[in-house]
Amino acid sequence: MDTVTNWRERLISKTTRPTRVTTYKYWLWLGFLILITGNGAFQYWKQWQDGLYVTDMRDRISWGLYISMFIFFTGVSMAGTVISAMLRAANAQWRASITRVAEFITAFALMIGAGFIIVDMGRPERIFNVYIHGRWQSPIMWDVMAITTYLTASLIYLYAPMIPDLALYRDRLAGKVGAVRSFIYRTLALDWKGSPTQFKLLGKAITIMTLIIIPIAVSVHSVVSWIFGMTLRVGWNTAIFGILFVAGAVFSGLATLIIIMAVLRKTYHWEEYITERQFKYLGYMLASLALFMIYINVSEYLTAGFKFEEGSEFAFRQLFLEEFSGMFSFYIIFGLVVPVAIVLIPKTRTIGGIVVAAVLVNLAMFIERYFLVVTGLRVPLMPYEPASYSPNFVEWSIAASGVAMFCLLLTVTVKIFPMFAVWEMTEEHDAAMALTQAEETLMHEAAIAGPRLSTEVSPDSGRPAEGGAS
Amino acid sequence: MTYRHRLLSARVSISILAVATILVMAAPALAATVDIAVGAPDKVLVGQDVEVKAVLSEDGVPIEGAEVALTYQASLGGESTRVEIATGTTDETGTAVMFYEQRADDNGEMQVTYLGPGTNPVSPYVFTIAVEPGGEQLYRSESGVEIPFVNGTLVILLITGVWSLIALAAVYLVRVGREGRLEEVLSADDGSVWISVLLAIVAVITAIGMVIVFVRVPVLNTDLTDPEVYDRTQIAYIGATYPYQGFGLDEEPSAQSGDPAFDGGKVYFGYGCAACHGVLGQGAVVGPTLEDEIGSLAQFIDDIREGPRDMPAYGEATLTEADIEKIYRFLDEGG
Amino acid sequence: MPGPASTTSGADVTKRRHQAKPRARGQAETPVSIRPVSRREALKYITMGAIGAVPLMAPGGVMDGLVADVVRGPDATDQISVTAPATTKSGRIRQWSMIIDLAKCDGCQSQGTPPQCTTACIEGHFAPQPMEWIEVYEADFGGGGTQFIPTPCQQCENPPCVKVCPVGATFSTPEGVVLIDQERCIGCRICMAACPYDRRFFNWGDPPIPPEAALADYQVEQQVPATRGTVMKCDFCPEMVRDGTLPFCVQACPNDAIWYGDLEEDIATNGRTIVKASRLISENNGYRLKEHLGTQPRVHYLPGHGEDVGRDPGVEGRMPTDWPWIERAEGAVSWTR
Repeated sequence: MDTVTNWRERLISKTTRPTRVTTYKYWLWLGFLILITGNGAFQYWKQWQDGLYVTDMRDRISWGLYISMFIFFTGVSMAGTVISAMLRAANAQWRASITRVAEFITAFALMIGAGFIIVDMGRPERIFNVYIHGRWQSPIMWDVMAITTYLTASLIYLYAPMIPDLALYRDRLAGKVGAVRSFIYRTLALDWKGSPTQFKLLGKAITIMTLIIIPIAVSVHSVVSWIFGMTLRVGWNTAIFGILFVAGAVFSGLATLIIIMAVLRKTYHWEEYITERQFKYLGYMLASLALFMIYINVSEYLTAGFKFEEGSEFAFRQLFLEEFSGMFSFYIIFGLVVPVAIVLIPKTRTIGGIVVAAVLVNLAMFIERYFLVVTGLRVPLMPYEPASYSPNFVEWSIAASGVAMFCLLLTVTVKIFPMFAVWEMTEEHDAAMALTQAEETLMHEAAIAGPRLSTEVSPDSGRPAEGGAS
Repeated sequence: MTYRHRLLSARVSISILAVATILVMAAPALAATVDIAVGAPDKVLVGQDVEVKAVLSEDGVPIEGAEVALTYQASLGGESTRVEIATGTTDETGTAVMFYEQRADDNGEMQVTYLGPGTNPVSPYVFTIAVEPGGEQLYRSESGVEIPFVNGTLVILLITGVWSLIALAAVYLVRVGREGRLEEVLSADDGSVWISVLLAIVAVITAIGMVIVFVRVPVLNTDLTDPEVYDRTQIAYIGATYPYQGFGLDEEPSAQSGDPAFDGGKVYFGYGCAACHGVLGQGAVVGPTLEDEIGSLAQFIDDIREGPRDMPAYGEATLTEADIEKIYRFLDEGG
Repeated sequence: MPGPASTTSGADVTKRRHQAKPRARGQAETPVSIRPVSRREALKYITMGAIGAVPLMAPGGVMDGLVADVVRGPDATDQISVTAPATTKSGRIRQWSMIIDLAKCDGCQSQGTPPQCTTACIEGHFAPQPMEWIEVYEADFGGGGTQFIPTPCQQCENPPCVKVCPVGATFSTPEGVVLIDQERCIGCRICMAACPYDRRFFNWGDPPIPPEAALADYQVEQQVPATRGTVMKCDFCPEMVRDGTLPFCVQACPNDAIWYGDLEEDIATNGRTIVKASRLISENNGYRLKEHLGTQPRVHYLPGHGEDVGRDPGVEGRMPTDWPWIERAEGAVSWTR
């Protein structure tokens, strides 16, 4: 009982630490992010004034960095779903400490991703035409629908399991934080007091969201791919895009999660909760996805390259030999092969190694999104010289500000919201403790091990799902 | 894929051979020229396949191997000429059979023309075929496959189902809040519970609203009959009487054909006056009508030089006085 | 006191959740398992979702129209436009098309001018630089030599661009012409990605158009004035034909290489004479661009390399197009494609 309580108290104190302690480094980091975001905002203001003329996109390569960023961020948003919903549905026991971070990543990445669509629009002030005049037949409309649904669902999915933790914050931090935060906790905690009925209702809400958020997420990434897959362009005109994008989304989502976990772990000394185990399991998932991605790529380029339809020659030349060969080989080697190696070789299978793999994966996935968009548009459709495109300063600034804003949102969030699902982690810890107890004592002794341990716990049901996801 | 929509009606087959033979028999006394006799139906339906027979003879002897053509009068885009719709070659009886599909609503005057091999001009055989109009489109684009239930209903069912579930989850969250309040009413001392209930209600309403918007709106927007969608009122192009000769916006615009009103029209269109003031100066949304407030020539020149209201001023460099006068004449006569 | 969450039985879980220990106010930490979703429950929720959808299905009329449109797209022939498309006397709607005789097209090499069709189109429509709504491409023959291909919008009957537009800004009219409503266009440019003929143009900045064009009242069939952030393309000039004249490009072609026609009456004219369109196409082995894509273009081509006007296929190159008012365009920018 005591150990449990102490463990719990320590967890609470560790979790609430960011809300209580703020160092100068935090402000430096915040300032840096605001600077980059501000620059992006200024560049966007310029773009708003002069139109997309200020970018390097032109008629023949009419989509560029913005759309790549859109795909990349919607891909990153898969993190929450995979970790949180899939593992929750599969009841993996090691997930509790990383779900909250993953869910925040989902919500924020989706907001930023959707923002890039607006940034890419020629007439952003007409955004509501999509609602006023929307047509079901358009892949863009599917996107609007899917992203709206996904954002709503992921916000609820983020919020529902957070209610007990918000109530905890409300009670524990009363008087220790400012009026604004107190108000946020009070309001958002929904008068939570942990009654069985409340748990039952909350459980229902979470179950529903767990159930539907996975198909929604898959639909979002498929639909994003169909923006390209529904055209008649060489390189885009393939049914494999849906699978490629969904797998790629999980891939980059995992990688982002690993990076952010590592950063938070280091910054707030959460080593006890985010352990090597989580990193390893996520690393295994990463490696298996990398293998799957390799398979998809082989499958796509082999079938397309064997038939070699009109335009394929140009497409293959630019991708494998000419302008984009550097990016493509980086993607294949450092994005897919090297991460697998890092995870599979025991020596490199450390937290550091896995973080390196994650960084490589994220970089490679961003590059992949970029060259998929640009190479698809670059193949000449009529007898003209192929166009060229490279993002200019405005585009890079806005893209960077997207990343910065993503980090900014997370940085601010850390100071306000509980980054650990305290109640789920306690539950998980209890399970682990119960297992230990059960192993150490006789069965009948388990019943009196403490009021916090259920008599119904049987050794086999209490076993943490070791490696459940790999 | 063929787009031709063919009516099922059988071909009209008019045997005119007998008639033609009689004609040929009765004509030996005539001069030694090529005679054309034509057998054709009096009346056909639009979309029908029509058979026209022509019998050619020279001094009563049937001509074999003569080329004939069937033409009708058509007009399109300001042109009106004869259009060859079928050709044929005569057999040993001097008969050429020609088929065509009746596409025009009015054939006008039809002709069978002798094309050769003789070089002497032969006057064409003129006749008419009345056309019974049918309202049905003959040229149709039929793309797309309709698969039962794989359609908007399915999509909307799916989306509605998902959103209902999201709304359901939101309702549970509202109930979580209410639960906390009901058991301990005093806890709501700061009113935050009401804010949370309000938030939850907003979420539910948004969810329902989203579904409704997405269900309803696309239907309205596939309807191209809505006049709000687009208006075909014409502006800013060369009128029927002014065939394109280059706008010459950067050139010396002096159009010269002798007729000042005609030339004025060219200048008027060339400078895009029509863009604002309408094709014949009757006025449009931007520019006022020039029909009655045109005033005197001197006044008109002043107006163009100064640019009243929002109109751009046209200086001597762009529009000479002579050109302005031409425009004035054009408006005076035509407008 | 709930225990570990890893149970496979929904019934067990239910029982355990009810045992959650009552705790003092303020202690919000009751750990309750959110367990794997049982199949029964999943079914229940899915059913609830489906039931929720039922009331929305009720207004049948609303659904019917949508259902018909989603798969096929709006049926052009069923639409009666308020502003009346051109019809034959009996009310059949004209179906505009174009037939371009490449044997007569020398890219205006013999004229010593830029292609006159492009020039006329630019001047007639005030098309911003660098838009060539009808662009004369020079394509290589396999073994040497070139041909000129004037390429307007192909006015596909199965238009990829119309299918992808999220707001219905681009649409097919009953006459078979694909138009763009620049007042609705949101500038997402998916239509440009979808068009397999590269026939769509974007106003990247404030378009360079002459000042008088900027004063014009916008009409969807004219696309004047061009506005920033919207897509433009060849509009096939149906209003000009309705008004008894021909599109700028057809009028301007010095070699009468471009025929404009009505497939409903099956006639076509190049401004000199009228012929039967289907015969013109079939007797000259007409073809359409990228026919294998199934876009069903309304623009037909007759093969050739300008031989009818005495062009040697070995003579390459054409004059570049220019925009006569470019200096007069106030405050506008221009860009390259």
